Amino acid sequence: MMHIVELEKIYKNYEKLQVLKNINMKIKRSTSTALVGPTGSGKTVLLRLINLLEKPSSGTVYFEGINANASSNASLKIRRQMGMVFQKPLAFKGNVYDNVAFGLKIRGDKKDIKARVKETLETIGLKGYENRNALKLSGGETQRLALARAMITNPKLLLLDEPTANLDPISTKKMEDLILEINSERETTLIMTTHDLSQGQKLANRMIILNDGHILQSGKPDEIFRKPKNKFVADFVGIENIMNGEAEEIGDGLVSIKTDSINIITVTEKRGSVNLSIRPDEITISKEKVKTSARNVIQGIVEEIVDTGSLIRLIINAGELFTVFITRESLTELEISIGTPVWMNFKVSAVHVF
Amino acid sequence: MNNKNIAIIAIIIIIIAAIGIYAFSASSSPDKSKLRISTTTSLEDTGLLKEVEAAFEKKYPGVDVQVVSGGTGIALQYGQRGDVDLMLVHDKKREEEFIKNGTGTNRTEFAYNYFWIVGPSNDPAGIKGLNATEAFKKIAQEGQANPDQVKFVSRGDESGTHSREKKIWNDSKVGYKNVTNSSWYLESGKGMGDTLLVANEKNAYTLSDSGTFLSYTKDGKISLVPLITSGKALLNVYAAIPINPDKHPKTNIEAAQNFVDFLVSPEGQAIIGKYGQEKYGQPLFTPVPTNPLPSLITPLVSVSSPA
Amino acid sequence: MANEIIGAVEQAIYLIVTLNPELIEITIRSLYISLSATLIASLISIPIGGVIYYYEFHGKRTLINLIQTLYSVPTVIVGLFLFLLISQRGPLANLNLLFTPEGMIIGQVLLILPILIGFTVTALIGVSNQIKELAIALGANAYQTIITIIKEARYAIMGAVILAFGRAISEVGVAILIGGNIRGFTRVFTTTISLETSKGNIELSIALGFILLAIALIINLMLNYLQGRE
Repeated sequence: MMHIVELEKIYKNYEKLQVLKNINMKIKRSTSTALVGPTGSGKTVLLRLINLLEKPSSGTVYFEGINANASSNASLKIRRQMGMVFQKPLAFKGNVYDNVAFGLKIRGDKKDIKARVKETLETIGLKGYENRNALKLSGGETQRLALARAMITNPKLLLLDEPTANLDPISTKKMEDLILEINSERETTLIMTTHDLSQGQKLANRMIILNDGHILQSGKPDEIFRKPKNKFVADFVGIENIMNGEAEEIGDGLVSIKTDSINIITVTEKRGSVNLSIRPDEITISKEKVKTSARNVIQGIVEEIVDTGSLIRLIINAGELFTVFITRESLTELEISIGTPVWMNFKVSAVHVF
Repeated sequence: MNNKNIAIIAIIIIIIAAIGIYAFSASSSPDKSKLRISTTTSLEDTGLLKEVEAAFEKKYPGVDVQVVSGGTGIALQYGQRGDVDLMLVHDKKREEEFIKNGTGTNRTEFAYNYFWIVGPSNDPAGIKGLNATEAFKKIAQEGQANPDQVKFVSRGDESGTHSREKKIWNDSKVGYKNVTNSSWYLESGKGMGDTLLVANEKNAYTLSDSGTFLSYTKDGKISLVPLITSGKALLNVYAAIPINPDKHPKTNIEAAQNFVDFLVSPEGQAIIGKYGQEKYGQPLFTPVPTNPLPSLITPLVSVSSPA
Repeated sequence: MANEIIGAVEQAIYLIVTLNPELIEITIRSLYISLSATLIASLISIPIGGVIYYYEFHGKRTLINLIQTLYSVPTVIVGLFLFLLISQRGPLANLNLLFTPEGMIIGQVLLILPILIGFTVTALIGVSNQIKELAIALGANAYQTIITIIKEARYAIMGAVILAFGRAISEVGVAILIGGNIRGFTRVFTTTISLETSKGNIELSIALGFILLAIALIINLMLNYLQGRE
């Protein structure tokens, strides 16, 4: 099946500043992709290139297999098959109706405008807002208006640039629900940028991690969380318990990774100097040394107890610093306080080597 | 922009168009021939032409008289370039140049009046009874001796009145260049009305046309009085010059010549002779053929109607 | 001084209440000429301003500076320039525009074009670049984008139009040189005022000035009402 968007060897420079370096990516129809990266990583520029608002310094953008920047006329035609929602909630002067109908009017699509605006407004939860002054809406309402404005033309591809960056938590939730709905019900292909990994995980079935103009890793969110390809991704995706050490075979197909102060048992093809991470939710805590199937049993002392609301985060010093999550009940049950010695248990498979 | 706004803008445009059509139908009829007369503002200001025009148009209903007035210089330019059919001016030297270079066909004097030397009623320089050149000489002497008591305000604007003033200073042997450096000599740099107000304020003498002066005194704006109101040096002769169709083929020579003939006809001369009587209590102009000019003026140029 | 102003107000009211025919005629003519000039100049300037705003080209900054410099061209110079073109000795003599209301309209159009173009460009630049990108991203072509930005800047452009109308109706250079101040044909407010002033009819001049101001006020109120509706 043909990809809806394909980027080939894209470079983008602003004078001497290189903001995108050798970007290659293919987006499948009806998928939902999140471009994730810290501020300045180039994700917004990438989205603007896809929307043909900017041209690459070199490389080619294909839309349904066609060079999208071949002529300004071709670009306009292709851009009219897309929808775009910018980061900053923005509305044209005038009422909500005129804002939402904008895309239809400029496409010369005059059929049933009224009914379609009404329907779209209902979908995004702004029912009956037609005659409201668009400039007097709240930030969340304006961003939903922007989504309606982009959706009404039934775009093949919907682009969202940090769609919730300027919104309060309640508006963010509404917006996220709408995006999910659009992707699942309308089968619109979605590409969004976000700096919030959990949002990407929530809304996208594929994530592309960007930093400094490079694609560092792309894949399913779960894959990226579990198997970051390098230290940056690992740090960025918020993986805790990252350490490095020397990997040595110890028989039975097992490998021991020796850090400065502890040994961790795992399975990996890698040898020599490696990075590793252990997902905090796969570490269990006990007061006494217990017999489990876990091959890694390490003792440490609780240095810090942080109440994150739903869970308690413990920082445990075992020579290396570990982050572990436990429930509030366990905290009381185990009578853990700062300075308490505890045992950490985790399986071979909890260790990800990279 | 919604439909209501578009409707309102449309209405505004329609109103503009409507008043445009009104303005047209009210002001110009295509079947009338136009007679364009260029004149200096000072003549237009008196209001005389309005009355002459009305009488002329009554007699020649096919002619639409349009009096164009601008500054002296531009009024002459209009004639020079053939933008008008007839010129009514009062600057003999320039008028003769017009005839000489063929721009005008002939020059017909149709009225005259005098510039007035006006000043405070106590006449501090004692010029009453003198002629214009003597009076200026006296003002210069007294002004030099008593600059606080005796002053003169000039328009200083290169207008016709100003150039006449310069001529009198030079004819009186005082010399225009000498007076401009004197402390008793002030320049307003403005029109006649403002200059009269300044002179009134400073208790000074000035040279004025009679129309503006009478209008200002009648309204009580100034308390200056006329001191010298006749004499060769103050004579102001108005002449009409049709523009030569040989030089500017588009000009309406027929109407122009008719207008000149009308000005010097008994009917036209009667209007000129009476003008101002009602408004100022005395006429502003003396018509030429019925009251021949003083002997020092060149005889009236005879008018020849075009074939 | 105070007496004269009170007298002028009284005279202005008298002229209006008695519907003085000459005053009405001059008012209509002044409005016709200046409103037509403003309308024509707007129809020319706003699209030109839109094009200058939208496209990036070599010398754009210089062009804008030049236009802004022309704001301060004296009205008499514009009048003289046009006079030399349409006078019987000028290249456009055959149009017979000298001493006609149409000639005055053209003169006033020339006079206010720079202000209208310049202020339109400034007004459009004042619209956030994000709005421009929004229009483009939503699929607008160049023409639709310019129209969208003009709509966004409509208050500022309306302000420019009001200003231009003000300059047109209050100017005297073009009116005198091109119109010739012909009674019943090209005489407008400003030329009447300057004529009456030189005749010494100061109160009448001030009265006419008041009426001119009152008309400008009414037109501004109308435009403000239009703006306020939105």
